Amino acid sequence: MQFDFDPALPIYQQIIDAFRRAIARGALAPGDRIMSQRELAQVARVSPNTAKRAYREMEQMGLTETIRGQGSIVRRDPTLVQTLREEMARGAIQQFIGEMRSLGFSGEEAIEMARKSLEEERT
Amino acid sequence: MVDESRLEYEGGHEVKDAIISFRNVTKRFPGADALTDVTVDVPKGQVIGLLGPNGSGKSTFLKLIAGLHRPTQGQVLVGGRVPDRETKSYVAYMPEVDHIYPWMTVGRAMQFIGSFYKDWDAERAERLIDFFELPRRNRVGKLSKGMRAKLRLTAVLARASSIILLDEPLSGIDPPSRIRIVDALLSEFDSGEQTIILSTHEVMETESLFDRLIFLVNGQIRLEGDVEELRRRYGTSVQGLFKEVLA
Amino acid sequence: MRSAYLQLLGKELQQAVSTALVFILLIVAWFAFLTTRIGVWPNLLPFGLGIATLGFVPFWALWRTFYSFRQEWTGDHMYLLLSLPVPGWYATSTKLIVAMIELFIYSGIILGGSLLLFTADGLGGFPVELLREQALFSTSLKAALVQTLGLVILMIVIQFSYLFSRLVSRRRGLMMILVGLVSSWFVFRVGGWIAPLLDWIPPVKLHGIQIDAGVVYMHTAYLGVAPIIGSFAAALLLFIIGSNVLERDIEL
Repeated sequence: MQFDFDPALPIYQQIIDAFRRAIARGALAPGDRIMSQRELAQVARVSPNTAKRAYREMEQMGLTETIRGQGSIVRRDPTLVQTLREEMARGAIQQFIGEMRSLGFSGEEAIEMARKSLEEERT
Repeated sequence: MVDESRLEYEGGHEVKDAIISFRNVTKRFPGADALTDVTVDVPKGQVIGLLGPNGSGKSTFLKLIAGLHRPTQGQVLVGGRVPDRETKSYVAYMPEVDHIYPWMTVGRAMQFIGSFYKDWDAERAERLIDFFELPRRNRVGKLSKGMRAKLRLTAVLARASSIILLDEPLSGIDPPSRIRIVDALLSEFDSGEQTIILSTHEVMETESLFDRLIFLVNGQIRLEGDVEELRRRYGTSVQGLFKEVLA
Repeated sequence: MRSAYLQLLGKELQQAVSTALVFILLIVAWFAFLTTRIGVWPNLLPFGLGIATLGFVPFWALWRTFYSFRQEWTGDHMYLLLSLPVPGWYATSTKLIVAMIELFIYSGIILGGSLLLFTADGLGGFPVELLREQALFSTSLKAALVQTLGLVILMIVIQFSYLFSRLVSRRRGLMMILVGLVSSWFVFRVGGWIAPLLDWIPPVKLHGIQIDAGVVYMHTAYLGVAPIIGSFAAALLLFIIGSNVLERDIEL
């Protein structure tokens, strides 16, 4: 996993986002062991307390679970990936719509433009 | 960007689990005040960034904790006591200057310093010497400035001290070495037991290292608090905050 | 705790070794030179110049006491010393002890060398059997002890004055001279005051010899040591205060 933080935003949330993305795209599957907090702190060069905070929140969000003696794993829930994908897709779409609206495009126009650029991409 | 007035600091938040506390501390030197009426608590188990421009009182702040300065007014408590011989046994202080004897070899210096502290971990010292690639048999005086800084850092990080004070550990160090120093800090820091206060006026490499920040300007605290909280509240990085505080 | 003390002592010794070696070499070279002058220069002149070297040693010891703390400051090593969880007297006493050790070594070499020159130069007509005289030997030893005690008192005064001068941020030289004068006065004054209380200490018996036309006369003299022991007690008080100032009051 690679971490590239925007220092203007809370770091622990960006760590959580990185894990959410990794699970959504299948880089991490339910039941997979994730690195220890200490490893994360070193890899991402963040304070061990930030890592601890991120892991605590991920567990509360139902993203991970702790197995005694083995550390944290991605929660063994077959619906997790699907839920996450949908949640994140919704977020992306809302962001897209919001951005287009703020530029003065209607919903229809936005969808039309999105379709066009997809077609261009294909050719 | 944002006007300075939004940086609200009322001062003196009490923190539970404080391992260091300053109560209305003023430190006066002939001709100038280094610190003026500083009240702050430092919670246990965190990495604290002590930020501020040169001459803002950062060194004085650390020396008061290390017991090398005594407040002119107010009180500094370290682990609940006024700094003395006892607190020195669990406070590891790295000064900004080269305080290790130049005629000692790297190995001898570590053996000498280590023999005074119960919390000295000889294995950890060896590990750090290897990590920093310090030549054990060379005299300290023959090392480059960067190497000497790494040696000073080793002398502090080799201790399992409950309080670690680092005065400008990154100043005058080349960028690759800075990253190495931050890596050493992260791999040796025991967040359950240790508290680190690191002073710096260069925040690039330390951006995501801190849990908490104390900004000092002209001997007074301008802003202080949990770093993620500050990022959220002001929507800017530590570096951004630093610029705003100085504005 | 004991090992911390030995560590500091070891550090002082190690720090002193290189300059001490240079000094020893210089003294040895000086005596080697004087040996070559035997028979060239007037009778006993090489011996006289050799033993005169001893006169520099006390001055050197005083300078050395001053310098040993000064170099800790100029080299920023006070940051290291004052961060150690040890009592102040560890640092003050180890410095004095090592200066004393050096003092003894230099004095020993100078005395030995002088004795060699003396013997090599035909003893100047001095009856050789007197050199084995017990009384003469013990007198020299006692005189040396009393002088050493006096020197230690001065060394403590110098160390104390230097540490005190570090409490001010300007005019440290002036401060040191003032504290030096006041504390010398204090030490010798207190020595005088305490002396009557130490009356029970027997005076030290000293022997003097006089050779007149080949006939050896022995004199006996008594030296009251109460004042100097009183002064030493006062100096010990300064030592304790100085060590506490170092541990509790000095700022960097």
